[in-house]
Amino acid sequence: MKPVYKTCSSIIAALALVVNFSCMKDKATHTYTIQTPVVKTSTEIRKSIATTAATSIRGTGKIFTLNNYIFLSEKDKGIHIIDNSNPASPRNAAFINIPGNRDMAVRGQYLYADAYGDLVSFDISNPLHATPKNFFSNLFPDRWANGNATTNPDSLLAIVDWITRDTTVDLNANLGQYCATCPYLAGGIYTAAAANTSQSSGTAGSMSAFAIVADRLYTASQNNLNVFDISSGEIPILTNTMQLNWSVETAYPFRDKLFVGSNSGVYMLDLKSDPDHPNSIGQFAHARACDPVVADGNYAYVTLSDGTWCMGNANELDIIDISNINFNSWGYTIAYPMTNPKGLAKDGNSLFVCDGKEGLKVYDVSDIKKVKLTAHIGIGATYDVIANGGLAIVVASDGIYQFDYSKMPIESISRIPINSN
Amino acid sequence: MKISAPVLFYSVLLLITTSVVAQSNQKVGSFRSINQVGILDGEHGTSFQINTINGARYKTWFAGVGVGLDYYYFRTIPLFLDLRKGFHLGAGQIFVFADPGMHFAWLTDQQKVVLGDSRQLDNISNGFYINGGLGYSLRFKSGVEWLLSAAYSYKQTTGKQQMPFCPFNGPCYISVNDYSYGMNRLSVTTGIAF
Repeated sequence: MKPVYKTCSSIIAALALVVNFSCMKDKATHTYTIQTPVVKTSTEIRKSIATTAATSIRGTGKIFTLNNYIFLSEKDKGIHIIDNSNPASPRNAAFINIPGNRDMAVRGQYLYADAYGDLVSFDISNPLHATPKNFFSNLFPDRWANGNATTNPDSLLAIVDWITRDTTVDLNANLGQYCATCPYLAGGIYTAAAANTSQSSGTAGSMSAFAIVADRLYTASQNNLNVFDISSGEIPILTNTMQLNWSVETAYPFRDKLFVGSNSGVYMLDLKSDPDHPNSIGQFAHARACDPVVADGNYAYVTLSDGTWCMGNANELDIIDISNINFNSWGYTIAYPMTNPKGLAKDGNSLFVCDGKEGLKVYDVSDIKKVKLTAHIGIGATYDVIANGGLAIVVASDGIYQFDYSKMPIESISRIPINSN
Repeated sequence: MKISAPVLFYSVLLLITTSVVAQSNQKVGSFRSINQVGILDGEHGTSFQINTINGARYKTWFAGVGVGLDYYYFRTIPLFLDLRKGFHLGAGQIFVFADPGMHFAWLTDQQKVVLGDSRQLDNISNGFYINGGLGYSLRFKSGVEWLLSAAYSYKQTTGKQQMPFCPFNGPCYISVNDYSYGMNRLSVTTGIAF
């Protein structure tokens, strides 16, 4: 066996040499995209704001209805105006090009919309020929890339696009470890949630961050709540900017109250005593989550959902007793599990909940302790809903749906497709 | 059609087992089954490996198909051809061999997270695999051979991750991350052949 032992030893020795002298290094690379921003000034953006012929809807966002028109915001692009005179055959009628638009509100013949950090008022006496009337600079400074450094429209910069290029780095030094050169930009996602407006101001979806109560326009923006006097219509007057420190997402008006949804809770503001300086009169704190809210006289209905920007893990419908608003601690709360709920709407005893990919769910909430699912409509991922007078308008990933819920079973009326190509 | 790694592994094992039984029953003397365990040593430590190679011998040549488990850095199932040539040396035989083929990723949940900067990869591809080196075999009176071998071993794979990202300022975009891994290892195995 001696030669065998010798041979094996030789092989092992050869191996050792290989180990010592070879480049037994693993090769790992990480190729990622670097995004270089394309910027435009506020002045350039304002020049491009105009009403054009109808364009195909490529994405959905906040929704608003006024008379026979549906206003649909396509995130960062503008507002589609849909003639809904016949809900069975809605017509995409016009498009208001508003770069950076995410929210809107309507009162009378005026539409108020954000364009990055600016607020723009439009005369929509003829909705198909909406004309910009006035611009208000830097009301939402967080929406500009440099909004906290300047107020000059020629200097305010918005990121309107990205130039993409690939970069490859060696991962040998930290294979499997956290990569400090990750291609992600800092910052979160801004998504304002939905609300419902009042009076002759049309109806907003519950994901809206703009709300109109009487002659005041409230615009939620991160940690601020701006209050505008819009009694003159065309020229809103900024009367107050409240620091909230709540990371606000939605604003929902109900009577003389304003429900503000943040990613840490729902707050109720009293507008009666001084609409320009609302007082906080109650709150419902919850785990970190997105939370649009609607309310009636006795209850607030809040959906909590997780998501990339909300950084929470709750997915549920909370019903909160708000009948006694004199205490900071509201009444009991009942929670119902959901999949990934977004916007919601209430009409009578029917509560409509957009439960993400599950579609639209309709509940009978006549007894909030025994909420009953009365309809479940499996359509594309639903985002927001407006329910009014037997007509439910639902924003989903694959279209705008309309349903007749005046009688059961709920009947589908029409669908405006989304052209995502 | 995407082949599940565990299904592939057990299917090949079943095939080989069936083949061995069938071949044994037919008493075809040229059939040979090599079964080995060993270690893989590289920049990221030392890992266990196991494989079985089954094929036919012709004089000093051997050709077969092998399948195994490779635990170096991320768990994979190598599937390869084995070609080897023996040279008589005393009581035993020196042999050289090459094992070109591919591997099928069979990642643990933990590995899926660890790979790619601690982010879950959407997918990780199967990739190229090769193993080549030299060894020594010694035949016992029973006909069973003991083998010891050393080789250079390489496995390669890529992973891809696509994630929509919406920064606070600016439009949303799809963030794309491509990862490429090439693992260079020293392989030492021992086993038996019959």
